Amino acid sequence: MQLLKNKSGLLAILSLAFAFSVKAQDEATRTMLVDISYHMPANRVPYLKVTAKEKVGRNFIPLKDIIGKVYINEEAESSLLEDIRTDSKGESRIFIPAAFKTVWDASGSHQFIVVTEAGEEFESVQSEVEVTKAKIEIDTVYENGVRNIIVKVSEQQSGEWQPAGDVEVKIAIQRLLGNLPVGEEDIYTTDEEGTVSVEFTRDSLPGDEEGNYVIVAWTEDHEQFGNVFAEKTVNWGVAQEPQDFSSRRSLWATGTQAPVWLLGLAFSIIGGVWGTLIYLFIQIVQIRKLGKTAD
Amino acid sequence: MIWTGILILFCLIGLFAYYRQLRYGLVVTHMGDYASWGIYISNFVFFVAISLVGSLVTAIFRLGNIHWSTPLTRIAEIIAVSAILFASFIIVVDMGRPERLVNLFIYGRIQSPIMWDVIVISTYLVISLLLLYLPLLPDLKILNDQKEKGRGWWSRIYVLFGGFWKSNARQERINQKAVLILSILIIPVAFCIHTVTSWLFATTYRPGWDSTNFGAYFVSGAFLVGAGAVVIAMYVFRKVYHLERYITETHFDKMGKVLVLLALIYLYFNVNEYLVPAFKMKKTEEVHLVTLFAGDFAPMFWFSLLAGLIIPAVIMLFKQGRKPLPMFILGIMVVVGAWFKRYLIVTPTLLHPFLPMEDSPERFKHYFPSWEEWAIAIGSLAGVLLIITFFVRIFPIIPIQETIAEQDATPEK
Repeated sequence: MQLLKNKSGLLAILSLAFAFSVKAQDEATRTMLVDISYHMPANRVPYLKVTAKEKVGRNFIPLKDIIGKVYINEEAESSLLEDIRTDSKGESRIFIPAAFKTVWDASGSHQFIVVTEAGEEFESVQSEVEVTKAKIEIDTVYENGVRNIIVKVSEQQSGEWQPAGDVEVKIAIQRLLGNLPVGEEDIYTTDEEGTVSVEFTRDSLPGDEEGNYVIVAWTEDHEQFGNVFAEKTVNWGVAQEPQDFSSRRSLWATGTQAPVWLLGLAFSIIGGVWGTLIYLFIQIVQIRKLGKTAD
Repeated sequence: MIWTGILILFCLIGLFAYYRQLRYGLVVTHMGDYASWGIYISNFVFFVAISLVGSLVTAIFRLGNIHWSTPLTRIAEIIAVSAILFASFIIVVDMGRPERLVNLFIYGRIQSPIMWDVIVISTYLVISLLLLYLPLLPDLKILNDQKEKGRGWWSRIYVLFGGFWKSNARQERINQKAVLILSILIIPVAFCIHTVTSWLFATTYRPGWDSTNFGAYFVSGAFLVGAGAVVIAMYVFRKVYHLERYITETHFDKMGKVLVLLALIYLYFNVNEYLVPAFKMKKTEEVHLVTLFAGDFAPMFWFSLLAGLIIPAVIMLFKQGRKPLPMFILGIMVVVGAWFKRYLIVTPTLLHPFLPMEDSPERFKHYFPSWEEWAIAIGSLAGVLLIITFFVRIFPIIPIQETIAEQDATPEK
């Protein structure tokens, strides 16, 4: 009995301790996850994307209006690229300012650092990414009736472009609402020469009016190169006849191409009603004349 | 004078707000990418609706040989004319750049309901003006005959508009024929005007507007609000100008019965409009309906339905409810409820598009009019009342000649 009493007391103390522990967890500062990534679009200026989110249960919730600073190579005022504030998606994008061209050109690899401001809800968070400059080139080869896409990935080392082997690359055809993989695989890996060759078998794809479409290749969140993107227009598609909707008389055409039946109907009604109104105006004139004659 | 002064003040504030809108652009309003039609278009639909009463009282009752409504015809017509005039103004206000109105005529598409609306509104305005003017001609002669009794400079207006009226047989015959033609002509045009206005909404694929019921729903609602407005005007003119001999309790009683009929018809279309989508509960319709029934717009929705439709109809079923004062109060409830009803037709649907609202500022997801919008809307309402006020101060609001002829033709009971 004494043992049972002791056990009950122990249980009560443990329950109390657990309750305090849960409360303490609730009151702890929320944790913000900040990430910075590098993006090199085809023929455009590279940019950095900062994302801020919070894990709530099993979901990641984007954090809006998180303020921070992005630096290049070191966290110093002279290396400050730009101040950021995240949008409703918890994102902020910055382009590398032209003032940093000398710094950018000086090395083949750079470190980008983001530091967020501490606030009432979150402590200051720092995140960084180390990026080596890379480029992707797309080439096409037509041999023995077979079309091949050659994708070459190069990285900058000591001011020279060197082949980058063992890099995972995605290769696809750009369509209106997304990308269509060029072959059976989604992802290809470059060889020692930094190249990957894919046989192209999608012969009957519709292209534009001249049969063109765009082949794209990119690295996705690569730990060394980030997100590097390339594209090449090829004339392998089936040419599409342009559909000129505006030249046909229809309800959705321009005003001058209204359907004849609609024009007939509308102008008959308008003519009928306004013809009657004109007749009535003439009657008013007639009444005026009759009044003057009576004088 | 106080009444006129207040109306002019509201109009001036509205004009100042419109100046600000012209000066700074539509940015002074709280409309955005989603709620691109706000209080202006609600007001436009309200004015178009209220103007339909001209065709009901002047034409439908006239052609149906309903003689008791004769003293009310001019009230109905001046309401129709002033309301349709301001419906035209408010649509230009909504455009933001009024000088671009001319593009509608240069590049207009006959396939577009907006083009039909422009055509039918201008036609309805002309017909309503003629229906106001032609029956006024015999009364202008009576007023001209009174000018020696000190009618002031207004007599010049009477001479200008009706100096040629000699009441000879040929003139009267032409006039009666013209009024008859107009009475026939205005009915299809009136149905067109509000059906086309409803098609501005119904021809777009959106929850709350995607309905084949919309034309009839709008027309029935328009007759109700127009009749409500006539009842208010009847009570005010009767009190202010001591017209108890001409606008009698019988008129209120009969207008009450008309209002009950119109309210029941409109209620029937409301049931159709909400029950059928609520039964199917397609996802987008569900979001829209829940917002109306239990969401942000629920107080306004239930007010417009209960206070603007069901409660007035129930009260007017009883004889005591059709007395002048209760009718006046119920008329106000119907008109105010109808205004909110138009707001509910326009705004909630715009805030629930099919595609998710992404990459847009938070303020675009809600809509409440800015002070400029309120000022312009209230100014336009004041403008309608101002036209009516000026009209009744210059011209007789009861058709003198027609009412005398009517009373002579009706045997004394």
